[in-house]
Amino acid sequence: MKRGTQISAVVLLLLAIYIMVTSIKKLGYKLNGLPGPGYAPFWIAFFLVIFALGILWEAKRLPGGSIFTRRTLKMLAILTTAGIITILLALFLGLLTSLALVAGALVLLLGGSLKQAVVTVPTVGICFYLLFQRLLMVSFPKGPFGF
Amino acid sequence: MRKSVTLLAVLGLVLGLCGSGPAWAAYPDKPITFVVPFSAGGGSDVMARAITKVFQDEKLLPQPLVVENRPGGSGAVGYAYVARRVGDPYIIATVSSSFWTTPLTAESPVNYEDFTPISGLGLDPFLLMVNPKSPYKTLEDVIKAAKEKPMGLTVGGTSLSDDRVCTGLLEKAAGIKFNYVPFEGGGEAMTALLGGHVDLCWANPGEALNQLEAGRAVALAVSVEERLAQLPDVPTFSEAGYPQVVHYQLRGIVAPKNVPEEAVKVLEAAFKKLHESQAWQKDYMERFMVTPRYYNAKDFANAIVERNNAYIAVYKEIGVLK
Amino acid sequence: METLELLINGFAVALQGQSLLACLIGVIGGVIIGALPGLGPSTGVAVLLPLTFGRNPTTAIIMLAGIYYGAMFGGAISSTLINTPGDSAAVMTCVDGHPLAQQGRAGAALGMASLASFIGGTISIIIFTFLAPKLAEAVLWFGPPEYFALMVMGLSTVSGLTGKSPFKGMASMLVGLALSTVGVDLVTGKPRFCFGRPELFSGIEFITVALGLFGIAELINLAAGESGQLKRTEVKLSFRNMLPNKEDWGHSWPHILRGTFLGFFIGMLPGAGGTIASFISYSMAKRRSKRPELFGKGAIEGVAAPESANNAASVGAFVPLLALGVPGSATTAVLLGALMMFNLRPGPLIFQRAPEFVWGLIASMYVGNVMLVALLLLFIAAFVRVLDTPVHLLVASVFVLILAGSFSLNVGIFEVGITVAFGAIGYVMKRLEYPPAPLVLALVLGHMLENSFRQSLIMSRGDMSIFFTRPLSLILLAVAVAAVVIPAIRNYQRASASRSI
Repeated sequence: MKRGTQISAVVLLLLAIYIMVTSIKKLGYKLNGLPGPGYAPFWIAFFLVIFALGILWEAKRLPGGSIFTRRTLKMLAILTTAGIITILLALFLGLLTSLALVAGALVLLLGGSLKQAVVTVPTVGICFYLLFQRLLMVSFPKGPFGF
Repeated sequence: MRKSVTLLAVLGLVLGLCGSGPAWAAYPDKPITFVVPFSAGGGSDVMARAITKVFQDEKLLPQPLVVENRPGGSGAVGYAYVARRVGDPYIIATVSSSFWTTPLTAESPVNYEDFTPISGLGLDPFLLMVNPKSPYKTLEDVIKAAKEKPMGLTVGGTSLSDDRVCTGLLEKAAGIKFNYVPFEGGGEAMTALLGGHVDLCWANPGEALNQLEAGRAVALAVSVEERLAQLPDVPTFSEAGYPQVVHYQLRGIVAPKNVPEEAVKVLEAAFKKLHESQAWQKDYMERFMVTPRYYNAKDFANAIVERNNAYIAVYKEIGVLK
Repeated sequence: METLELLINGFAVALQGQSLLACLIGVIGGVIIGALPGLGPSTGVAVLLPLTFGRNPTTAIIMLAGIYYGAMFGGAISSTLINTPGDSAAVMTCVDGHPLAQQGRAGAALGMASLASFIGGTISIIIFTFLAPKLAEAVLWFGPPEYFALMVMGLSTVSGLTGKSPFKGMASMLVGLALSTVGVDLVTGKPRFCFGRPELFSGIEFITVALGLFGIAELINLAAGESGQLKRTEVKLSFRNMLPNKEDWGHSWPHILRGTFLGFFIGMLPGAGGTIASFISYSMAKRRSKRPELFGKGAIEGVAAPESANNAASVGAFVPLLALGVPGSATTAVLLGALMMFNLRPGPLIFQRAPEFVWGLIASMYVGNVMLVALLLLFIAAFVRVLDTPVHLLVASVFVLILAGSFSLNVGIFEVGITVAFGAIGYVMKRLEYPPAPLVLALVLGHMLENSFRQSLIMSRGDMSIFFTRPLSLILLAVAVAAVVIPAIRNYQRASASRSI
């Protein structure tokens, strides 16, 4: 917790410094004597610096130990990767296929049986096709199979 | 090097043969995607859906048009999506002001040169509006007041859109300076006018008519050469002595670059029939108070370039472009 | 009472078989779209719009309006059951609705959401029936300085949303504000923090972020088995057990009433809308509640307050639409297009020009609200069954549903990426005890906060006094300052009192 909070505070500090520099250098703090595009980001980042320092100061009193257990870290990794894979697969196989396959894979990875996973794939595919493409008329990116 | 050039030439020839020739006699042989680069429900979307309906009801094409909304980035996302499909006649898009303004003001990846013009359908003029409670009853009053107090009058409008362009044109023509207050949308600018928070605002006749009829706002002048049939009492800027203040939103249809000539002809003919149809004129043009004006593909191409130059000229004037 | 007579005529229209059917289709469609992650009423209305062409305009608008307020009811379902906001106005419902579901009180939470929505909706329609044209004038009092003051007031409620560490709460809010500056600048037209991506030009959609921050983060939690097992009511799901009990009502009713009035007035203001209304209503409820420590851990009034507000706001949004002819929200903008399509020009004259339409629509809202509450109460037991799904199936299917919803919102893969990224960030925030609510609140308000600030200064040509010389703006700012200062003083007094003992 302590280490995690300290890292997050440093990340916030870096983000704030980046925003401040960009606002002044690239966006422009003032425009014809009035607040310019960089005005609001600059002040937002300025206060972010103050609060990030506050977090850093407060972190000293926090208990040590990791914020993650093995299992939570694994789940974070699995679901984030699943999201990224969905996006990448969607570019090649179309979104519908990609979502259905990822849903099946997730069922397996989260401890479901192979049978459940195999059933999930077409169920998700058909339900989502009916719901999003037919009913809501959203056009999902299509894959080589025409859906 | 030479080898690859030859290869490309052969490839091009093969593709060309596949693409043209007898196959095109049947164009379109599948539904055509009709991209609206804005959210569902906006001005362009309503137009696209009205077009789709007339196309279907009057069978203007053997295949349907299928509306697809690709919103984001004031049109940049949708237009980029269409432009990427070079040579594909099965995708078309609506044209409205953002077709020009977004590439000019923001860093949009594509501009008008990435498209094949199909047809122009109509134009939206702009009305200069005041609150009836304001001391300004005519355009002359406004200009006199603006001359006495530079930057003293506030004009509400949508960010850097046509409203900004109209303001710029009038400022230059009359040698005055307004205080332009940008809003996110026309509705917000109009509300600010009704509440007396800004002195003036710009609006399309379609947006303004409700307020005009109810007597909550007054139109001082219209930004086209001739008075509007529906608003015969509203003078034009040229009548008031400012012939330079002519600006309108051009509405039309484009396809991606390098679409086969034959397909352009088919689409062009269909949109011409659309323009001539009663249902279209009555159910869309009249209701939304768009001024009908048909441009064939060639005229529309010229009009697109002309519009682009008009936007560039004003943006340079007001310092948006260097 | 001329109004009553007109209303009775309206009911004559609304109770025709055709109108009833349209209303039913509308509200059911609304609930489904509201419950689907991310998709809100504006998508639903736009999609169904073409289907209504060529129909009787009154029937068509009754259906479209049904989708609008139906979605406000539906949003609570996914918020409560899977901590995924169904639409943007339902985000605050997650905060207490989902903990209630974890405690086995999903039925009560959903029952309370439906009834609070019903009460909020119905009271608002009554206000609307009698006062719409007069209230429309109040909308016009709000210029840019007043909007700025209103947004400051909204942000001041963040002080009530921070968790254990005020520093982390404020940092979360500031990150939200920073995210709200992404996109094309209103004044110069130049992109800010867009990294050349046109998808970012129109800014980061707040619901895209909320889907990750709340929805995906919760799924990770659930998969890791950390969130306490989701469980259904221990007792049998009888109709009576499902409804909120007497104690729940005792806690909730003042907040429902306050939420209704707040929601209605904020909903009326163009650009503000249901989302902001639900946030402010929630924060006010927390501040005024006798048990603020329970908020975020399953306080039933934390569900009642935002739900009554967002429904009231959806009715309030009809005030500027019908009485002024200006749309107050994305959904009413679509409805405006629909009305024009049907050759009905909304504006002050519509009440005289098309009375059967206006009063038919108003009457149908009464009918629709009754339909909704009846339908939802009937089906709550079925909705709650969702929680019986084995965790791996639930997580897998909800995960892809969130991604599909995120895609559908703007029809973009890029948005899916944002949702996934904020899922991971949201989970880390959760572990580090950064509260997510201030971030999304600031993201919603930030855009308008900055724009109205700059618009005001353009109007006054740089003179800051514009915020203090206009009475309404001054009052709102004073309320905002009081909202921050008074609790601080109270805390200080409490702290010093305990020290002296």
